Amino acid sequence: MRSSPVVKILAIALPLLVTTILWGMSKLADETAMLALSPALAIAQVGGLYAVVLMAIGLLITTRSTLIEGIYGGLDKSFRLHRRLGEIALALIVAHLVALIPETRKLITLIVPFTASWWKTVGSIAVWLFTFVGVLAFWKRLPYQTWVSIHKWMGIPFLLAAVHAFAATSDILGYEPLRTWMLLWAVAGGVAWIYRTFIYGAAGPRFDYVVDDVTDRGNATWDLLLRPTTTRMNYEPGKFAFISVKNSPGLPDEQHPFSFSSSPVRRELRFSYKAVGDYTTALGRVAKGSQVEVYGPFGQFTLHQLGEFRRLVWIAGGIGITPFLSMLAFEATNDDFRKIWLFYAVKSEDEAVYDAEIQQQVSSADSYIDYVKWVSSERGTISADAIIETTGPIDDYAIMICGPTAMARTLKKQFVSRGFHPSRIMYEDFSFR
Amino acid sequence: LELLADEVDGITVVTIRGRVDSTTSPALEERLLGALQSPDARLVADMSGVEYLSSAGLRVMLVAMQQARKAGARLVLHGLTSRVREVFEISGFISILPVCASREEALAKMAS
Repeated sequence: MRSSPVVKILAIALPLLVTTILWGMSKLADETAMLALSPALAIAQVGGLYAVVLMAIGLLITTRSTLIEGIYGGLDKSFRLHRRLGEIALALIVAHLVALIPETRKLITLIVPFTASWWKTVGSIAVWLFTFVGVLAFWKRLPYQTWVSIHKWMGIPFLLAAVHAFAATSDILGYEPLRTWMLLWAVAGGVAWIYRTFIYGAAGPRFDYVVDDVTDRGNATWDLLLRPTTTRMNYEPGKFAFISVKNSPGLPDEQHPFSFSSSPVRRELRFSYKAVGDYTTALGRVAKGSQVEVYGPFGQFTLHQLGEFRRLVWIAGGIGITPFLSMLAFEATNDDFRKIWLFYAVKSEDEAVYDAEIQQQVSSADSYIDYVKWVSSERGTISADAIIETTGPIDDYAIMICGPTAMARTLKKQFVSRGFHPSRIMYEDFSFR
Repeated sequence: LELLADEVDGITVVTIRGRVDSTTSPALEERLLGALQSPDARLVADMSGVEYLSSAGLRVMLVAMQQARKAGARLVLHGLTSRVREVFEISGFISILPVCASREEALAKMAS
């Protein structure tokens, strides 16, 4: 089953609630602290504690743990949450600083390092580092790998913030349950960062492959075929993996996410992608035999997540067809009958580079699949109304959408406004930055 | 796939056993269409031995029904296993294809 919205909310709300309760109890336990408490100080203290907890959750997400991915409905959504948590944490840190101004009356000691006590200096350095690294996430012109190289050091401001939190307030030091609670988050966040930054490359779910073939499908679309050198990766159609090409000229040693377009019954992995940046363009020129590290599989965009539905509508926008290609390839052997409508939406005829492959796979699929190639230059932008007009009533169908974020979200909204429950609509959103 | 043909009171009964998928469906299509060429053809397809039916098998059934209508012949299915019935229900073919609950019912329907 798919992750529940309640679980998603509780996974964030519960830690914050416990933090609030324990902070409140720390005040009740210390009469002096209670008397000294002002609304501004309360905001500063709770905001600071919240920021540490949210940053720790954000770091836990970066471990790509299956458990965390399951809670948030996929790695794409987990990383979107990671980004949102970072933004909220930054806002809370600003609130923490602003709320402390009446208390300290010296703004300079709050934001300029080495102008006050050591723990204030630690706090202000954490603020500057966190702000600098956080703001870079919004600078779209920054090369991806440069951004990744800087962003991965986000654990340092987190650890500095944790040290500051433990040193700065008597709330944490003076009240055992709150101290233990915050220590747990500090350790969890710290360990998560150390694991992801220093250990994951060697100890993560890595499989060794070599490039077997690279095929130009036209329209800047490529198929990358990889052959295992040792153990092959098992995966479900619809999932994706991070790949890292080793020692290849023009290809920096960095991990990029790609969706499988092959059937898991095949020994080789096939990734299909559109060359939209420097890395994906260079990948089309990779030499056969190049070593590739494949990390994964990840993602929740699988038929398994919608197992209770035997009738499905698949909607692909452009290269968003990739996970459906994997599902279609698996269809020839899975003995798992479904009724499926597949819409392959492309802007123009020449963009439909997988049309022939889809037609061939539909004819040999176990499931009964009605295939519609939707060329928007001829038929207009694909919409929920247009889809329902083609399919007829689909009240007992589940809907899977993969394509550009704007298209996927618009279609989801349209289906929801047509009375479809959001739990019956699944969409994939690749935004790891 | 195993196909056995029998005649019962002038009605052709084709018993289908095994898997009907993209590999085996051409043989089934050939047999069913071959038996549905003349206007007086009456065909009962006994599907009680079908272990699995894929979309290719469904298409054969659809083509056979269209051929029967075109030729003025008659086609009735019976003996759907729970797995095959599920495939018919999910695809919506259960409301398109003539399905009887038993061999007796299918033969009686043909005789009427």
